[in-house]
Amino acid sequence: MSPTLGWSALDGDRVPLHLASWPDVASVAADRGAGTHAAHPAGHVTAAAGWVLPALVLLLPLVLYGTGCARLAGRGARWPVGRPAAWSAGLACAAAALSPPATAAAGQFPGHVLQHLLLTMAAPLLLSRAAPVTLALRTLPPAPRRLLLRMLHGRWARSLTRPAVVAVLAVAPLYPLYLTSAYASLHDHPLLHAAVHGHMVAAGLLVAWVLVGVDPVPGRPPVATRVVLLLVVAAGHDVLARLVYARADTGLLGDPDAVRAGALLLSYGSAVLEGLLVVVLMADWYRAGGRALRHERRRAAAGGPAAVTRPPLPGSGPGGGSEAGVDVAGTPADGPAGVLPGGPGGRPVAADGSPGTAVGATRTRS
Amino acid sequence: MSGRSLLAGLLVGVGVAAFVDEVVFHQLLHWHHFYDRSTTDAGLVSDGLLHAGGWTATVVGLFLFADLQRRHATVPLRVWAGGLLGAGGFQLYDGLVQHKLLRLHQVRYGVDLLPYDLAWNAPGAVAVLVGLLLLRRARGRGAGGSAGGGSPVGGATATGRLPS
Repeated sequence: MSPTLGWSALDGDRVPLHLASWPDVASVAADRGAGTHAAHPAGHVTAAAGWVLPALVLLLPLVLYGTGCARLAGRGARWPVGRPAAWSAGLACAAAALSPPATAAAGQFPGHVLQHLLLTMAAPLLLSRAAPVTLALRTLPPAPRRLLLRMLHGRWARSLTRPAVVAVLAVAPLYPLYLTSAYASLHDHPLLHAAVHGHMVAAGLLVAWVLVGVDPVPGRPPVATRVVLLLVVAAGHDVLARLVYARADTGLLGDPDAVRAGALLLSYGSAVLEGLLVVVLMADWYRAGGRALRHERRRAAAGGPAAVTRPPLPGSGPGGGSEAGVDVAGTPADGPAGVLPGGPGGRPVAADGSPGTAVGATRTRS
Repeated sequence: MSGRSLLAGLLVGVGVAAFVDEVVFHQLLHWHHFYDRSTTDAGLVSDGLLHAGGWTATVVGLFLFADLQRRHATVPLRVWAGGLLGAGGFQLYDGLVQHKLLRLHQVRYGVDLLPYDLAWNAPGAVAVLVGLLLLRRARGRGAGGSAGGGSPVGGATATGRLPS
């Protein structure tokens, strides 16, 4: 927060474009608010530089995603319009959280919490509904697509999506960060600060992808497990908010009143966002069950012994996964296989993409 | 689907009780406090879990119920039993464990607590008792109706009625 820290970190004309610029940008913007920058000759340059990171965060993925959509459209393949909408909204959330006004506000604890909610919860939820990995698998040239597939099927990807791993990654680091002096000392270590924020964003994306991502997720747990995972993460946030509130007077996180306001925002804000996550998760489950039910009814209407061979699907509908499964599996049908570079390339994607969810879907639940 | 009916009722019951607690007593009346100085850390953990769980339970319970309805597989008596057990159980847990054992916060401040505590816990206890009675009655009926039809979840009970 102190002006000297901000300027010294930004000294020279090379403005860091990675996450390390958060605290610096924050202090720069805070300085602007205090009117101290007027005397600084490079003031307007650094002020504009504050917008570079949010602009990149917004535009780069937007262009990439748009290119993918255009390629699909050129092939005549269908891509639900809600996905680009979710992608844009998610990026807008992230960019807003990184914009100079938001980073300036992050100097106070409520602003920091708002930034945290936008970046690690709202943006990931929206982005996960845009199925960017599916889009990439359907539109990338063969070589990078093979690389992406290899990454998705790597052992580490599968172990990262284990519910316990997700829960620990998403919740555990928050406690020492906000309940010890770590939070204050981060401001003196820009690299560490960037690493911590990077981790939180990555963990938020992981949570959203495992819980409600439209993309197929390797080893995605069944719906009941996902509900429990969500509950653990939500409770983790809420308990933390209460502990922060109770310890506000220690002054570790700044002005006690601001800390209490931030803790309330964390408690209620994360409750709203996690409530949305449950709604999306269960709505996916409900839709998947509906598809299975219609299928059953059609079979039953056709008459005969279908009842015996019916799969026990509806109870454990794979949620978002099944939508992606259907979608990815639909690829070869959308466009003739020859259109995809490498001919049979489309098939492996579909076959590889779906089992993670389709196999999990046949598990029964009571 | 009788197990599912009970579960849906339980979840919605817990969720409704948590919702009423939050909206009426925390937000509207301001009787309850987010935190008071006697609150223990265990109390905070417990309250955080309930707060997060209330949302989740409501949403999951409603979706389960909607699923039962579209399959024409709802067992209403069990839904009611579950609802009462869930809401009453929540009320008792909140009133006895959270307010008293964990000293999270009291029903109201600056008053003689006894009548408030009675008014808080008695309805909870009654709801649990009625829920148990309903459950017993549902079990009696279930034994006559569909013996063991509940366990294969996506199976016999729901689909048996579909063709008609």
